[in-house]
Amino acid sequence: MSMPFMVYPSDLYLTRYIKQQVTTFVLAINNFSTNYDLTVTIDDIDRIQKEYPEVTLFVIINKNIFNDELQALEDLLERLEERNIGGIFFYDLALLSIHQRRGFQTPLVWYQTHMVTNHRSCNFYFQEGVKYGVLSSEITVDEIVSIVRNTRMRLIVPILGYPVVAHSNRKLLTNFYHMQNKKETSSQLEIVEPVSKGVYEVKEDASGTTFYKGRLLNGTNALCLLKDEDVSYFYLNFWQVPNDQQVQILALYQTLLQEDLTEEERDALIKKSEEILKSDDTGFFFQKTIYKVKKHG
Amino acid sequence: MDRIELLSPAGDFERLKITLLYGADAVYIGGQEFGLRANATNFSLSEIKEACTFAHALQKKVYLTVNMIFHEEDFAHITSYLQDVVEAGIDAFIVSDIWLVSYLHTHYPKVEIHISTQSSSMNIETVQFYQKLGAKRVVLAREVSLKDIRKMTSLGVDIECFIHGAMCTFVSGRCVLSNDITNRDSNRGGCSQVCRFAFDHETSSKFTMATKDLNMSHHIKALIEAGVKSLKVEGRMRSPYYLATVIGTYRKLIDAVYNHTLDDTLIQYADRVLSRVANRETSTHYYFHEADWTDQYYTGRQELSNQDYLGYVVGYEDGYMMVSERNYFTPETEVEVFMPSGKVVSFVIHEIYDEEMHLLDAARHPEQILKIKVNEEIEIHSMMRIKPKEGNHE
Repeated sequence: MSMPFMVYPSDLYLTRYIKQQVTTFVLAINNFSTNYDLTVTIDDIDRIQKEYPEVTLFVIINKNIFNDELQALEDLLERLEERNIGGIFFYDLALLSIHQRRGFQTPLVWYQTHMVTNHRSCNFYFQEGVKYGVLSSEITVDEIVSIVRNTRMRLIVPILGYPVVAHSNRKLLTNFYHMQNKKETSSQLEIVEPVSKGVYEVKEDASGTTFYKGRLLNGTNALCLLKDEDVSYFYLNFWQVPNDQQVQILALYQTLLQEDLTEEERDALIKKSEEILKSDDTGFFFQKTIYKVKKHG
Repeated sequence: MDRIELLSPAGDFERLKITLLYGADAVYIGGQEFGLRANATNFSLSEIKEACTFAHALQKKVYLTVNMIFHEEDFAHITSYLQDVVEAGIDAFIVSDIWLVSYLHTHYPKVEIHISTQSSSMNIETVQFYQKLGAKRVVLAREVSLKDIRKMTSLGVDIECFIHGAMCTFVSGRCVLSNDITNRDSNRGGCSQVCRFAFDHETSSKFTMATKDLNMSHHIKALIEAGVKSLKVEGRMRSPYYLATVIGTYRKLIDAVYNHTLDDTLIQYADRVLSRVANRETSTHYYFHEADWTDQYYTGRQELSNQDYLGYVVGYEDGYMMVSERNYFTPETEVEVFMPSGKVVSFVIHEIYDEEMHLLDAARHPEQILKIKVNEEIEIHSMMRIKPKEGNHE
């Protein structure tokens, strides 16, 4: 039986995931995705589907689109429509607009990163024909439960990975190195916010600059609480996660999902996940954000 | 042909009044809930009503921001709130969460829907998608070039663009650094402006990414010719003096375009005035090329302030202007008074009196009412500042 996981792999050798009953993968499309290191072309998709006929592929098209990219986007969607794709993750509404106008049938996945935070908007997109939504990493488990219970949209919950915390169209590393007069540059830089001591990986590519949280999100506890809710997939982003950790955590999740565990056993598994992933960061699963810092009179 | 709209921020009723008097055609304000400036003063329901009454009496408009990205808990009072603000008389909602676009179009079809820049609309398809949902206007993302703007102004939906003020480093809606570092939710109005922090990295220098401000004062004619419907100034938390200066200056530039009187002298004057009120350097960012290293700061916070603003005019009687003091000044200071009508009067202060006509050697108490002799009648709500160097323009 396949596990309800959707994996963004660290490389295209998918056999090791398939061995662990993972058969759903997310791949970022070259030139139309952002925040993803490993990207693929249509030819790569064809090759993967031929090599691994048992897998379901979802593709990510999550960059903001400018006018001069619209035709290429439409062409890309047309080519994807000719293939058996599980779904297309989209950020820019241009994709939804084209998809509707052309009457394409490939399922869509609402993937506006930080904006998928309530059931009403999920319901709106569901009515517009969008089948799936990837929930924001900035909401709590309680909020996730509320959304899941109030929408017919099929939901995907990210539980593992280095969360994206910001994206700019600016070339922030290029600019930084330019001002430093540095000849040797890198497309990746680690920075630390001095007060909170928060560590961030800054990465630049053709679409701009992305900031990733430096600590791995470990949503094992959330997985325990959500496994009996109507979540379609739990999303695991294995970028920069060592292969041995990937294998161990998938095995642990298999145990966690298949067995009726006592509270002690569950806690032990959570503890073990922290050892495997070297992270106990639960993100916002149990921490509500605030937005008013003073009372109005 | 409709003239282009000059749209100003207003963080409270005083700012709203000032900015409308100084030439804004419309203001955007936040209520005390559901906007993206949760920590500005904002408007209570009765103040929204008062704001609408004041603006409508001047044939001007009030747009209300309801542009947060909602969480489940935020739905509790939203329905009654929307009903209340519609009854208060607002002319448009500025929104970004998609469910609200749909809801407002169904329930309040007579109130305009403006899509917030938070939605980062950058292309024709997206604009048309919102149009299909009932949006009257789309505020384009700040990453859109003038060339691309031109392609989106004839789609049958009004296009609004930012022309002045602070810029986000990141794509609007695509930044939660504030959430992560300060637990303040940037997409619900709690942004703590982490992009203006300085970060450590392996070498001794700091990694910074703060942007310079936007200033499109040289390109108003191009924006009008591009078919843009509304020019937006950023800054709901800015001071009344800032708003009066910036809005008054853009008012002059816009009017000069339509009156065919725009010339280099006025543009240079606008430059001088705007540069004195700015607390950061400025650039045109994405309008003409991909933003680059010239659009940022690299050494931490680079915010300057000055004491140019000397006083707020509260009356004029018997040849004396009555001024509420804002910054220290002395006799022999060369000043100019700029008025809501756009008129500017320059002179050297010879004598400063208090309200009882006692002669003072200096104005040194904020909000003290002072009397200064001026031969020309000065409008109430005018502002007095140190005269910008290199000439004047009336």
